[in-house]
Amino acid sequence: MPGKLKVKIVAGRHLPVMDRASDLTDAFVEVKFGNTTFKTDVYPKSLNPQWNSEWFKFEVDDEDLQDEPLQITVLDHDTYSANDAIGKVYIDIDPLLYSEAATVISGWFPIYDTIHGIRGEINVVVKVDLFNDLNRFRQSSCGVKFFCTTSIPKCYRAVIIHGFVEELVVNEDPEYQWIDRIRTPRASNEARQRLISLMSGELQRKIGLKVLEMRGNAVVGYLQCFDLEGESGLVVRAIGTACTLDKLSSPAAFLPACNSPSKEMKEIPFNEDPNPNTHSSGPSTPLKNQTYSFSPSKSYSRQSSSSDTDLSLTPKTGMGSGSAGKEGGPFKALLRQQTQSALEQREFPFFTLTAFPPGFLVHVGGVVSARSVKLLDRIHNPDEPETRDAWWAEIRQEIKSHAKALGCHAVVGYSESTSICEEVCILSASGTAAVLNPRFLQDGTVEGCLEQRLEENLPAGCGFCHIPYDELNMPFPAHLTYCYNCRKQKVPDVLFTTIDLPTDATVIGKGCLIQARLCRLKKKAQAEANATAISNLLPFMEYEVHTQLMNKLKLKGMNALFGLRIQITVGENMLMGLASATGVYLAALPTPGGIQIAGKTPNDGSYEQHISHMQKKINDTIAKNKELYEINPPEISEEIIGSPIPEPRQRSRLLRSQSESSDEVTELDLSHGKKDAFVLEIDDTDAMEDVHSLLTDVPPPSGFYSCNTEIMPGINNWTSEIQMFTSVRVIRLSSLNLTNQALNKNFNDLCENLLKSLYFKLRSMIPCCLCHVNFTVSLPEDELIQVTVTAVAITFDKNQALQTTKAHVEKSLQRASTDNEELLQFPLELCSDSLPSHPFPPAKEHLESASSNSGIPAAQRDRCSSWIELIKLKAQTIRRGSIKTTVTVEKTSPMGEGNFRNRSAAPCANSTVGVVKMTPLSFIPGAKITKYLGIINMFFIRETTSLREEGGVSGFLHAFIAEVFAMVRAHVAALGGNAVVSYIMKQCVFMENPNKNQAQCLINVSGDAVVFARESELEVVSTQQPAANCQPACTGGEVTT
Amino acid sequence: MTSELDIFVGNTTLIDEDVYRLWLDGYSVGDAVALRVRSGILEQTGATAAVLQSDTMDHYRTFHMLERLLHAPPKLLHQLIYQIPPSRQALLIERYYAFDEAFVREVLGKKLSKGTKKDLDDISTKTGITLKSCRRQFDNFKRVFKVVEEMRGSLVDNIQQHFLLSDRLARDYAAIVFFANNRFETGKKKLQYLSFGDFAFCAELMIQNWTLGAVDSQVDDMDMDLDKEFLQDLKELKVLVADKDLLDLHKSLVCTALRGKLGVFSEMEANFKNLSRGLVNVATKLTHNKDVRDLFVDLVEKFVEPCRSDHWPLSDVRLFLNQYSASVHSLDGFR
Repeated sequence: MPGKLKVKIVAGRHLPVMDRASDLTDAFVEVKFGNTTFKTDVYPKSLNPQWNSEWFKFEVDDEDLQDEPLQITVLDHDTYSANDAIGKVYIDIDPLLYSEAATVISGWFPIYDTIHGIRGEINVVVKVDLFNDLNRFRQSSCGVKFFCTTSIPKCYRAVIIHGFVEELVVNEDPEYQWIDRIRTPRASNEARQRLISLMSGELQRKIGLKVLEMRGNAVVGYLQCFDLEGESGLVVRAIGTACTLDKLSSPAAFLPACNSPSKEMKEIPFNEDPNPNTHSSGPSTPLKNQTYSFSPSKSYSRQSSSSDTDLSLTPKTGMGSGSAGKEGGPFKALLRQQTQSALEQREFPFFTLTAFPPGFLVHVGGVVSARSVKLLDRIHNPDEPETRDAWWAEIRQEIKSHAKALGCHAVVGYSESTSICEEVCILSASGTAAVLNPRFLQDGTVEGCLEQRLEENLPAGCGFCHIPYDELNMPFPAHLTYCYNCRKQKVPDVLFTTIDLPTDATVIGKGCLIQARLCRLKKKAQAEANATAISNLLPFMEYEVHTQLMNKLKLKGMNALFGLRIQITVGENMLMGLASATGVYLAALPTPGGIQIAGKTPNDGSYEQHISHMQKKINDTIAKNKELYEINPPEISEEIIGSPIPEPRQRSRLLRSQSESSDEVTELDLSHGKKDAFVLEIDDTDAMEDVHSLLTDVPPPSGFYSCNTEIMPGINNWTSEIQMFTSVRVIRLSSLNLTNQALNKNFNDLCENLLKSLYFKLRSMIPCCLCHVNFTVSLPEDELIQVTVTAVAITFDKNQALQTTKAHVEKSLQRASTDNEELLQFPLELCSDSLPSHPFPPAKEHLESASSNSGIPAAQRDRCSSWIELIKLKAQTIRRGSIKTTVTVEKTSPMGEGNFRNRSAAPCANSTVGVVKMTPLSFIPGAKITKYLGIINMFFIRETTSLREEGGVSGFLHAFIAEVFAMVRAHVAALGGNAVVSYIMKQCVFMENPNKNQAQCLINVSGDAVVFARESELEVVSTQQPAANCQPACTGGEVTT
Repeated sequence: MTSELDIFVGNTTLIDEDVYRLWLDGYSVGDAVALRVRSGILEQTGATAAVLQSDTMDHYRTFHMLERLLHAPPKLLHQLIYQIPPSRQALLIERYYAFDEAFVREVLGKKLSKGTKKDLDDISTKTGITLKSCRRQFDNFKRVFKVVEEMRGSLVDNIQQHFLLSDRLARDYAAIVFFANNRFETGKKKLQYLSFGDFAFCAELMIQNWTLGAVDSQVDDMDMDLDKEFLQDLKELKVLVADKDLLDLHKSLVCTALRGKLGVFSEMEANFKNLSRGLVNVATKLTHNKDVRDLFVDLVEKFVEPCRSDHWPLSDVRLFLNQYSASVHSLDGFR
């Protein structure tokens, strides 16, 4: 008997009128957990009943505690006929099961009915008494913490990051059971809601067990999804990253990367270490354009095989480890071996994290992804979900091998998704191949810390860009150059990743949202024929999506994509592809070349003129974008833009192989831009269309920025004014002879118009940035396209931008220097060979780019032979500058004022409703998260049979989404929280039947409930710890213009 | 390509003040978009008409959903569905309950019934206020009336408590409710020159001095109905004009006090009997409901107009009336 659940029903308010005669309601409440039900007395004739019930006590297993939701039903008592249900509240009591989170759930919950929506509120108090469980063979996993956040939660420290955990459970969908024919829509919806709630609980418990097996205590980056497979069933699956987390004792003690030496900092010093990395391998001629490695290995057969496409943008190599000794110094080799041994034990070395503790990420290889088309089959035995497991295992295996081909041992920023249409299902997985630091992957890290310092001598700001694969042994030629930052190692010319921008990355200018959009018509077909058709289309779509992304990236004058998410959606008669990512200019990577247009018939005069006109337009756009996003890298050579390119097309280059990387010694070639242009051949109208569409993307209005990552590089002075929103659009295509082009245009317009509307709506927040812009496409019916966007708009302070950036730079310098000074005695001798090289490249490049706009010749670096002097010099500069930063924090927006009141969610009836912030980000600008209260994972169904009366489809969905927000906020407030971070709307399935005046919508949302405190409220511990400290917001700090 | 569905839902509900005004003014989405285009917003923001249309629709939908809550403002404060900062909530309520001067003059003192509601299209044509807006304003008056009509305690306080209006607006509503309850005639041509503010001023004084609440604060309806006993007592004033001696004495008292202070002294002296008779007659008739309704008409006819024809300045009227009522206290039988 490990747990006692206690529930008290206090009161209700704003109940609907259930008795027309008296205009009143005789309400009572049923409280149900598992199979036990309690009832309150009837509170007669009131719309604001005061039940003040006794404590209802449920004695239950902790297994049940994890699986079951508490179900509260409010009913209207009727003497003569059956009691009418007013609505229900489901409360997930999981947050009460681990000690650090909430201790009590208490507050007003909206009473929800799947037909009528929210109908009043009920005040409930829930407590759990847990007894110590001594059973080793337990089935429950109480105590394992879950986080949706895809980074180490703010008030924790990662001791060990164990790795990938996954689980899925299947069941029959109640909507498709025979009984559904005889029950009411309400009963059917409620059965579904309850089932998914149960399955989520079970899933979470099972994942918890796996984590305990791995000796972890938490799951970070927990992503749970459900697949509505229709007839064949309901799948709830989840992935996450198991970790062992340590709570940082007090919020003040938590001084993340950007601070003066605290205890933790001493253990994580490598971030800013000097760069002793001895890369002695012979440099080779940096050349070759970016190519796509594109290997569609497709095969389709009924059940188990798959059609998949590899879309790693960066070239990959077949060999993983052999190059280690050659490539880096002995440290690196050691590191590699350690990583390998740590990772090889795992079946899938995957991490759902997108941001990492400093030093965790060593190198990034590129995006790896795999897709597979499956035919759904009825799930015969829900207890053995083997088929689905096998499908996913297959895909993961493929991802793993892709990563290996890129010379990487691990995949980070890993995610999985599905798209289902009738009986066809596309399973997708993607991530970023990477080489990781073994330190976090092993036990006993703290002791090992000292030795590990040796290996952690990575150059800050560019290390992750260095290629992890062997340049001498590449199956595809890629355009490698020496890192523009450290000049020591090779980097690709373009980098695509699914992760967030690493905090220590050096970025020039600002970033922007880049989207590739694509539609492909497909014949309607059945079963296998359909699946084959889809399989055949997929590689082409992937290819085009990548071409678009690449073109748009070049058009923006940028060289890297972060947060790349490619979604392929399948419909009855078409496939849609939508890729979103945040483009940035990484200082370590070479300047991207321009786009060169080549005509097919060069003799035609007017055609030529047209071409040159287009070319000019493109060049102008690139120049304009560079200005807009403040991309002025130290060395801009005019000839880069629009320079003619001798080589024809990338395809041909695919065939060239290793011969390029010879051992001849050359110096850094900074003016290779001529070879770097990207050629677009306009050989038919399609290509013309593509070029046009490139140019039609309108930049956001001035004062607006957008990105789909957590933060925007180049902006760091966020104010506390945030606005999270969801916007949904559905368009109906005119079904008359649709062509791919018309379809593309429609889809493109839909997305562009949606963005324009957002900019217009949020214009009062200017200057502002839309962060974590998340587009989801679905094809609910033949001619319908639905796009759902969730994002958060954050206002930043323009006036302080310049000043703060400067201060930040200086600060980043300082922290580098402090760390360095501290570690001085130690790494100094060890890394003696590195002395001539630059101690902290990003910082230096800054100063230099500020002082002289020239490139950084090697000679200049050498002059600074004693880098200690340099550090000291800079440290002084900083001390003068650091005071300025405080200003940012103290500024609170008017919206922020209301926030303190609600820090303890008062259940008292007279209090006004407390503000609960919601954000898809893992942090709240200008505030510190002081406590994580538990995961919020909610699933709702809403149905109507009076669509017109509820304001049509728009009115219906608008009200429903508002209700979902309200229920999330109410649950957070009841847990004692004042915000939801890492909020995500995972599913929004909308179906309508206007002829029958009906509509139905399913929404699944999740996030982490937290308590935050404004920074101005917290004690400032040290004078050197102003403001932006713990916020990722400041991580862009090193970046300047 | 047609847009089937187009929505935007913020965690904090976005309220656009300009669009709210257009909605309150009863414009259709189409008209509102046209008006917004005319305001030059497209040029300012670089948006397209389609964006404006979608934005306007969205706001209208939000307002439509909020309207139910605005009917009982405390609900807006306690509801959980729309997260709106308190200052915005106050703005929503205040603007929703605000009314047009032109409109309120049309319905002031009328019974807030279905009959009056039917006349709203006439009012709409006459005032140029959209019918929709007229209906909202009328329904607001009626709603406030219904809620506070049977309540104890101060009228203004009740309104403020149940509708969370600003002090100013609550006072205005008190006047409207008071006028509607007593059905004072305000629509006659003679009264057209009076503003709502003038009547509201009168209403406030009458509530303070003439109602049940003025005597006893624990009665239902205390601020709404005139105190019947008080009106009965007014009959006694008749002696001021019926008794010739008393009339003369009263006159001489007033004249002595005001000699040299009044610019229109001679006219006052000459007219004193007429004026006094007019005032007292108005007062003594107030026991009849019909005469109560005509209170303002009578006052204008019997007192204001004679004064105006003699070109009395306002300060003189005030001095006269003060002296007129003060002197009564020194008369026999009024001490």
